[in-house]
Amino acid sequence: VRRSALPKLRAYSALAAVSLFAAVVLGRPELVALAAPFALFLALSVALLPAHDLTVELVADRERAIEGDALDLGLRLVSENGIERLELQPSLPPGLEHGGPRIRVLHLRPGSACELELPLRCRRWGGYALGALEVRAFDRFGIAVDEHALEPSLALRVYPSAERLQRLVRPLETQPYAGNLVARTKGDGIEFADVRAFTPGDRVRRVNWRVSARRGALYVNESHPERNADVVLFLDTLAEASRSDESTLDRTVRAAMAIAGPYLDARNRVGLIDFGGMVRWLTPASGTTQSHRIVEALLESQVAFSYVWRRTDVLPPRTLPPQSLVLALSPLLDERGLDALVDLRGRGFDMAILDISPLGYVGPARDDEEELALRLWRLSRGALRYRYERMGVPVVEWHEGMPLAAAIEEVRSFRRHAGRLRV
Amino acid sequence: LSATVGALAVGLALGCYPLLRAGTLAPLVGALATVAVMLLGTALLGLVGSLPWALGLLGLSYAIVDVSRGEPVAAAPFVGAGLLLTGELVYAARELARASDPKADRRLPWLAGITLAGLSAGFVTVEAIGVASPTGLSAEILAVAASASLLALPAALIRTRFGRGVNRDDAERTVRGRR
Repeated sequence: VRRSALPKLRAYSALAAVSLFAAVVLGRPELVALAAPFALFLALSVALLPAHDLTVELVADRERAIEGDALDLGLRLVSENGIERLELQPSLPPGLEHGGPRIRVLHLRPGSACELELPLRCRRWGGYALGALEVRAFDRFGIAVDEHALEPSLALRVYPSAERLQRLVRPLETQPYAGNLVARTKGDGIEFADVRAFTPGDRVRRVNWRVSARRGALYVNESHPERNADVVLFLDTLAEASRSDESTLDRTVRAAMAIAGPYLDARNRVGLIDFGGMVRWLTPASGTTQSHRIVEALLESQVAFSYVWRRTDVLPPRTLPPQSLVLALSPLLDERGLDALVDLRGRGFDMAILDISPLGYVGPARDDEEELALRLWRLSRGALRYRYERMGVPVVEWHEGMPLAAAIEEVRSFRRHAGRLRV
Repeated sequence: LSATVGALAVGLALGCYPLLRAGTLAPLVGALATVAVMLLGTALLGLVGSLPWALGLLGLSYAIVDVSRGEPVAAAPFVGAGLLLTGELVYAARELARASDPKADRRLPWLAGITLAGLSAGFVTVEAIGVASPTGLSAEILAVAASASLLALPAALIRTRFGRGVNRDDAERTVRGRR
């Protein structure tokens, strides 16, 4: 607690002192009458200065929220002596904002408890520490203030608001485990694949009697088995383009959230590689636990500036299983990220790149030179996309405001028409 | 807004009163009052540091007229209480502008009480003037002693309350944050 005098105390003291001094010097008793109200005010205020006693209890109505959600920070205040004027100002981290006035003013009666709720709004995803509160207790005369800063102690995790995707990029290859994807290979399954001549060991229930009758020999149906796939989300967090309210990293995390969920729901294994200044990864796995792991890992995502020239060989082999689909989410701004993507394609991974377009974060050109630079930048980005497409990697530019489903559909369309290209 | 308007009204009244009785000193007093009201305006706009100067100039304009023209003594308590009321209204206006107070109406009886108390203090002083007192050097010494004692009380109290700060035990007892 820090008690300090307010400017009023100094102002009134100075006025009273000057008036009394002038009264003595000039010999005018009227000036004493001018000073008397201020002197009386000061004497009373200092004599009656209270010792503030305050107990603050903080509670948040939940520990998890989604971007855009509103939540209430509950406060219970008790003062034995009462406080004439109590100002409460929560200090919020940048991703949270006040849902009401920044400063709340209260009057606490002696011994009575006051409960109030401070509305907050979750503006950006992330992990936050809540509860930092500046408390200022003023006396009745307004000459002194007791200030106290409460440290944050409540944890709040704000998850990104993800778009719900109906259709996903279908992996070209599947894994041996059961899943919802129709495998390209033949085996036990439901989807019809082909008809072939009967061989000893084939089940009688698979005999295609119509074909057998027509050909005069036994033929059996072949089918595609249902398998799962490995999907690796490759987040390029080496660089970002940002505005005050949003950045390419925010959109990258939202897209990753939106993509990971449906793949996991379809019994696929999903892994995560955060390729940034600090490389982090999650080996592919399936199930609800993996979903929570991915969400928690995404909340820790940040752009950490680094000069270290990283390559994909820093990644453990288990993070990139063979025949997995690598979905890269990148603003295509950092050379190291671009090289890593080329390297992955060179290692034969089935890939697709979602270009988190940074163009929306660039202000309009102010003169001809800036206009020219902007055009050259756009052209170089186009050339970069063409380079990847030549390698058989679809690159879809995901603009701000464009639904993610539309970008995913573009990837699907590219893969449908381009067929499979092996490097 | 009402606090702001009230502060400006009282400030203008305090500036106009000596101006009306200034006579040939009207330009000087008028200039002082104008500057005082302007400073009052800046204080109301947020530069609270200018408030003591505004009140000081209003008091000075009254003092100039009083010294040169011999104002009736009975006017001084009203000017003193008016200055205090102006100051309180300015501080109240700034506090309310900083954060809205759901119980702002409670300030009204408080301001009235402060003004009346100030007025009473002024009249007590004025009444004390009428009491026969020794003249000459002894009177001067008595006046200085009275002034010093008047100032000594708040000064001693301020030193006690603010000079050494608040010790740790007091601090923990005063405000506790418990989660």
